[in-house]
Amino acid sequence: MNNQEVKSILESVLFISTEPVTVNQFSRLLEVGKNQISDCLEELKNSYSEQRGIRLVSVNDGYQFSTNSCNYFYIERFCKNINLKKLSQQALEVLSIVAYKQPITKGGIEMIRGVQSSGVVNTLLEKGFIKITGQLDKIGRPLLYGTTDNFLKAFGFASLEDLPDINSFQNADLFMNLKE
Amino acid sequence: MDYLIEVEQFSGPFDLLFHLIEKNEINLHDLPISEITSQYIEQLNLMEIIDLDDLSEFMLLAATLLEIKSKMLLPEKYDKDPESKEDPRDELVQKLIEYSKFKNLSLMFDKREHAYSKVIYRKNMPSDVLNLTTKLHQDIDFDFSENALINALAELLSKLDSIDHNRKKYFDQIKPDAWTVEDKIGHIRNLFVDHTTMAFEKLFHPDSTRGEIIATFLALLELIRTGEIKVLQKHIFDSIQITKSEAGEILI
Repeated sequence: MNNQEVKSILESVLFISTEPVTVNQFSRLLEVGKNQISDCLEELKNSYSEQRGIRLVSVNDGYQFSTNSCNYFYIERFCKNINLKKLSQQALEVLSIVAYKQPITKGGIEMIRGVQSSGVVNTLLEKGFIKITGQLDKIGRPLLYGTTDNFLKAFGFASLEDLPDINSFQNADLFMNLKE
Repeated sequence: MDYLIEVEQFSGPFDLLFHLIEKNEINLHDLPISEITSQYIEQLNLMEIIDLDDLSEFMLLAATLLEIKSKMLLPEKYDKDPESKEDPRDELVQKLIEYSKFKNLSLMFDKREHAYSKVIYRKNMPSDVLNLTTKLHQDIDFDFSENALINALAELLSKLDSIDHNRKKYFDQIKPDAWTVEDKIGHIRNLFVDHTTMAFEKLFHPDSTRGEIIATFLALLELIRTGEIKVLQKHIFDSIQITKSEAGEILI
C-alpha cells in the first residue's frame, strides 16, 4: 500500500474514533508495517496546521483528532453538554503527585501532602484522571494509582515523558542555600 | 473577614506552613522554628475548620512544630552524641521541600487544565462504529446479559444527548414523574399482546426523553426478573431481541 492510501485510511479511522488509536492497532488493522504507519501519522499530523479547525493530537502511543482550541467559543455554543468543571487545588495537588510518583499508594500521597486524601483520590478516579494500576505487595496490599490517557489529554501532554522536570519546580529563592 | 477567605484556600497543613514561609521570605535551610510555630498556631486559631479529620491534621503539624521547638531548646543532648548531629528540623524541611515541588506543579497543572479544556475530543459515536473500536481491543470480555443491555442503554442515552432539544425545558419547574416504571411495564405487556418478538430499540420511541428511556429500561429489567420476557442476542454485535416467554414458562 502506498502512503497516500494508508494516510487516507488512517484519517477515516481517526475521524470516527473517540479514543486514541495506537500505531499497533493501525498496523494490525491495515496489515502494514509500524514504521510506515508512524511516518504516515506524522505526515498527517503536520498537515493539520494551526489554521485548521481540527488538530491531530498524540496521546501516549495513540493518536486522536481534537478541535482547535481557538474555536472553543463556538463549540461551546454548539454543544450544550460540554462541562468545564475545574479541579480543586487539592485535586490538582494529588494529581501532580500521582503523575510524578506513579505507581503510588494513597498512603504515599498522604505522606507528601500531610493530609488525608481519600475524597480527592475518589474524585479523580471518578473523573477518569487516575486509575488503579495494581496492589503493593505489602501488609494490607494497598492499591496503587497511576494516571490515565484522559489525564494526558486534559492537560495537553503527549506522554508521561512529556512532563516537565520536577526539579525545576523548586522555588529557587527559597532554597538557595540548599544546593551545597 | 479577609482572613477567612484567604484561609479557606489552604489545602492542608503543609500548604498553610508553606504559605507562611513564602510570605515571610524565610530561608528553609534556617527555619526560625519558634517564629513560624507561633505564626502557624495564630493562623490556625483564625481558621474555622469544621471537619474534625482536617482539624486533626492541622493540629498534628502544630504538635510537630512544637516538638521540634522544644528539642531545639535542649542543645546539650545533641552535643553529647556526635553520631546524631541531626537537626530536628531536617525531617520537616525535607517534607516541605518535597511538598513545595508538587504545590508548584499543581499551579502549573491548573494553567494547563484551563488552556487544554478548550480542546474538545469526540465523545459519542454511532453504534456500528462502536463495534469497530471494540473489535480493535481484542481481549474484550463479553458477558452478554449485563454488558449488552448496559451498552444498549448507554447507546440510546448518548444518541439522546447530542440531539436533546428539550433539555432546557426540564429545568423550568419541577414536575411529577411523567413516566413511572409501572406504566411502562403495562406498556411493554401491551406491545407483546400483538408481538412475540421485538427489537430492543423498538421499545423506545425516538423522541423519548431521558426520564422516559430510563423508566422503560427499568420496566424491561423488572419483566426480565419476573421471567415474563427474555432477552436474546444471537451474535456478538447483533441487535438485542426481546421475546415473550411461553405462558407455561412464567415462574410464579
